Amino acid sequence: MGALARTETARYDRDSLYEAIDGAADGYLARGFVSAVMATYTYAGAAEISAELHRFGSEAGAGEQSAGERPSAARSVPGFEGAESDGTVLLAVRGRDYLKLTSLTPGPEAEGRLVALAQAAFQEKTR
Amino acid sequence: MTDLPTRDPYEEKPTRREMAARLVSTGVAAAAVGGGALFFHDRRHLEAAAPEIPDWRVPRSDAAPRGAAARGADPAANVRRAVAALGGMEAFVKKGESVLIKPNAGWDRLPEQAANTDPKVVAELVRLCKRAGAKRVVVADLSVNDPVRSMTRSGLLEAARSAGAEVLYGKSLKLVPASLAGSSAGLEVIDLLFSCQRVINVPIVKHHGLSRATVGMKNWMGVLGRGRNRLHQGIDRAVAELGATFRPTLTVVDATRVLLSNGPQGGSLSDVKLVNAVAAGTDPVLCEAWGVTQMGLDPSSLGFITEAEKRGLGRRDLSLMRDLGTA
Repeated sequence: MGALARTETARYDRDSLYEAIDGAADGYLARGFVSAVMATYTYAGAAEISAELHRFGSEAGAGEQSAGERPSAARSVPGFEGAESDGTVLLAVRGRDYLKLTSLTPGPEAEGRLVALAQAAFQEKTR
Repeated sequence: MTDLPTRDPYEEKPTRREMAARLVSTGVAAAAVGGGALFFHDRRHLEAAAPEIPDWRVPRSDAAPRGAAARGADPAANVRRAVAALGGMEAFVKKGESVLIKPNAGWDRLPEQAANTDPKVVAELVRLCKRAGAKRVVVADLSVNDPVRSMTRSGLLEAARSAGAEVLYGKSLKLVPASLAGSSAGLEVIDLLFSCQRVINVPIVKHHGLSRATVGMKNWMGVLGRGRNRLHQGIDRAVAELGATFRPTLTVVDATRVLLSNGPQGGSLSDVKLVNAVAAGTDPVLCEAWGVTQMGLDPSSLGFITEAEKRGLGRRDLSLMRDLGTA
């Protein structure tokens, strides 16, 4: 996926999610959020992507959260079922897991990196 | 990203807030059966130990404008025009005073992603305060994300320092207990609130998942330390409480870019609208109302604005905001 480094993984549960996303946590909790892991990946040229993998109690909860956070210009990612991206944010759902990737350095290479990272995250997870 | 927690996701585990709600219920029940005297005695004792938040406003005549809004491609010019229409920074900051400028620097996001206050707006305010004779100008915020990353990526660290401010964040901020009306004991605030004579609130206008919008009053969350998440309960009332507690010298609303959805953290450029406007005001409710209209929202549809007006914190009448037009 081309990343040069990754920060230490931070873990959050229903108690601590506010520390990561502040007021946005309420929507997650209402939809059955269970836990999350988060990390930031660094690429060449100091480009960075923030990765959040949220686990919900149900597929429906994960899907609803993804739909609720869909960027206005998001479109389906070809060849990647259930993933949507607008070039700066990529959202994907697999079962009860909701993956949210955000480019912290938007640019022409960002979308390719988002897709590669999302695919790698789900491939590793299902291994 | 592969090592998801293994605890059974269906196991019921109440959140801290659910626990807090249960404790409140227990406390109410105890008071009802005779434990109230002790409960309130303890509360008085705790509040007496913590200082009250100062009032940083300056006296103004009834004829003075309550707010002014400027539009144009240069955020710094918008700040200068808006503040000048209120009488200039000299009307608010006197020679030798210390000024705290409180932006929203909560997120590890670029200015283009519109989660934090635009650095050009903050830098211009620093320059105006220095020119007015301030001996010390501090820019500070307690970030949600990593404070170093947030202050750096937002551009606020470099912009504010270059303009002559001290920038304090993360562990360089000292927290002290404070008494906040309507809130339970145990909250902390940054000590700069007690050492600075003037405070300028500089929020960005953006969407918020709970309150639909966040402007100035909710921006005070960034001066609170331990316990601030409790204030997300009953968000409209809590935001109005913040507005009642923190009475800034000036509110400067940054609508250079406005985050229309997925706030407060944002991230997607497609959620951002370029508005190129800044408003300054002494009426925090008017500033709030003007801010949400930049998102296309009706101020009367937002509970925290209605609640704040009911409490007499200001007026949402947009005719009170002087429109300076586009430069």
